[in-house]
Amino acid sequence: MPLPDLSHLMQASARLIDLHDSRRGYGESPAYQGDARSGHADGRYVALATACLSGLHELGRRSGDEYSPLALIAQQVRLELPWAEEVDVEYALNVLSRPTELKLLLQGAGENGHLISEKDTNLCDKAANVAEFRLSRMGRMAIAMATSSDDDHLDIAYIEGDITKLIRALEHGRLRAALGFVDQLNEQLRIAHTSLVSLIERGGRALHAAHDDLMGHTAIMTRTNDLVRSADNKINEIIRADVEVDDDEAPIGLVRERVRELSRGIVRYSRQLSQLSAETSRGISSSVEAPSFAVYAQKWVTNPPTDARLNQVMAALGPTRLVGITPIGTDFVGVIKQRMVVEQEAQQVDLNEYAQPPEHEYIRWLQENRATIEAKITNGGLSLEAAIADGLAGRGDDEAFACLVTAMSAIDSWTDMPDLVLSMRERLMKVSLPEMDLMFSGLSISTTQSTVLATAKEGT
Amino acid sequence: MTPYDMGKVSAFLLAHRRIEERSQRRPIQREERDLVEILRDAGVDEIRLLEEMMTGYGFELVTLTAFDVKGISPGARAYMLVRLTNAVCPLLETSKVVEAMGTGSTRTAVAKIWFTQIWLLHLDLMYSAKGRGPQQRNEWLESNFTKEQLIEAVRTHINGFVRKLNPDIAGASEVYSVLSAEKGQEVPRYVQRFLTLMVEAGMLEEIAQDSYRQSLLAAVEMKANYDRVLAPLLIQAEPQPAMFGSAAQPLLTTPTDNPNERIE
Repeated sequence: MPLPDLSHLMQASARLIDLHDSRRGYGESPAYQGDARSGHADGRYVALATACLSGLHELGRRSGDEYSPLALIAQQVRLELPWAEEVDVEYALNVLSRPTELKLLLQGAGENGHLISEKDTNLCDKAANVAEFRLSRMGRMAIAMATSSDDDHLDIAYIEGDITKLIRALEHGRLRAALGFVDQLNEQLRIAHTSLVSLIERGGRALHAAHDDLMGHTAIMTRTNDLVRSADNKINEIIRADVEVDDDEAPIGLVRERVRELSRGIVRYSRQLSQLSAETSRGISSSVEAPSFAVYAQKWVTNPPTDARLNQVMAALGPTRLVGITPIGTDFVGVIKQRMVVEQEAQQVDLNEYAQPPEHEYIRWLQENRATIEAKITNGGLSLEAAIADGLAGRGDDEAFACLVTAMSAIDSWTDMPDLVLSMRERLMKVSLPEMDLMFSGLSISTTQSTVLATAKEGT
Repeated sequence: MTPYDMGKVSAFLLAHRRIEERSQRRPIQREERDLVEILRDAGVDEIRLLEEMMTGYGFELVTLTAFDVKGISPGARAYMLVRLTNAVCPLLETSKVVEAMGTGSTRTAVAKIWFTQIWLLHLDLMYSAKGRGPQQRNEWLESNFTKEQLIEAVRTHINGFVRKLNPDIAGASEVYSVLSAEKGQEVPRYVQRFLTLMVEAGMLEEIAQDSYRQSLLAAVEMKANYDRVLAPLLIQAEPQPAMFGSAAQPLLTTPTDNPNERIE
């Protein structure tokens, strides 16, 4: 957000300050007495002050109102004023962070009015003990006043008017102006939100004082939300109509994103208002007044808590460290792979070296020869030598003979023929096949029925 | 967020107890930035799962934005692991850290006494001296103090209060014996050890030479845990008339002193 020229703040207030500091006695001559301004009269300090405020505004915007170190501010100032020395920047900041006491007369109903002292005039806050600065409330107000002199831009009560300006800018397709408005609104809302959080945290009287404004603020936020929705609709219209926008305008997508951020901010702010309302309507504050920890340190000298209680406090609020070997993020690198789709590489398979698994060979062999074997068993039984002679062991290769022996040894596993009898003879037999000479003990399968028939045949 | 991502996030959180997107005080390493991206992209259900996992470790996962607390850049987020008071994380060690206040010859009890007293006085500088309540998390940016101020606060405490106690009455207290035996050099030494220890544990930040400030994590934990853990203890230190009716409720809700008894 470009910073406005702050010089007209001086122009607007210089005469008032002169009057405030006038030494003229009451009732004396009304003639103008002239300015007694000492100094270098070269405008350098004011230029430094303007650059400092500009730098602090930018740094605060980036960091969320964090204090900024002097070196960083000086660096920021030198972007605008290359001749600026750090020591002069520090002097300017020291002056800006000191309050000037003003004596103001509040005009009341009475004749004499009411004199008040105003010290909230420092434009920066200086951190305790270190050379770090940030914009003060008055500093932010000064910038807001310079931006627009008609309203107090930091007061959330005026937010509806600001959003109306945003809508008008959108209606005229002035997106850069719209972006400026919406950025300022987001910043304003964030500051208002954190102030509200601080108020709730502080609790007590401040909370009750805010109660009167609650209803008004809630209504403002409801109406504001409707207005933001209108702004969002305007943006959608621009996108739908595909209106040509000048190159120097801001991108419509960016404006829409910022407007939605604003909408979320308003919802969040409304939620905080509801919480504030709940706190005040309960009539009690959840906040705890600042306890004197030094007094408790004194009490714990003579009346310390037990070790167990103290350990509980330290376990919840004291310093800790991790024990044992605790994994850190980089430990996971390469150990556990992230799930991802890996393209399968084409596999190179040499079919010449492929060998079928034995179980597959056995199943194939059974499918081919099952019917033959079952028929032979039914017709008087099957002996190993007969099966070999019938070609069931092929040409004597390992696989076929192994399949034959396996099938005969585990006959029950592949056929459901009833009453099968497996018998062995201890006499060794020799058979020569083209690829193998075989020597085996006698092995035969028969059904009980065929056994009876064979016995009867031998008897005759 | 894949289980791998969740492992990375939880390991980092357990080790550092915070993940920040941007910081003006310290450089954010690439690993931390990547974790922020993971957390940003995570769905509601995934964040809930992570929260549940952290609850199992004894922590509450807190997400903060520029709208919640000062000191966070607009649009940025900070994730904090806040200790739960009803569960103790077995991975965290406290008592040995506190004992590190002493040297080799210092008894554990003495180290603990020095730590506790300086701890209360440093809270006094950050809260009481600034009129800040423990709930005022948002004011953490204003909590800075110098080492000299803390040394002065400890000296004032010892010389202005402890040494003026009647030894016949206070002599039985070990805290009194330890503090009144101080010979002048112990205070700066113990204060320096305290500050180093607190900075290493992420409870304080050294913002300039010998200038310190409460960390955001410490402010968040103070707001979350003060009422349940420290306030009852401080209230007990107050001399109070015997009110048996009002004593019933704390007896039902406060944890027991007996270490063998399970704490609910």
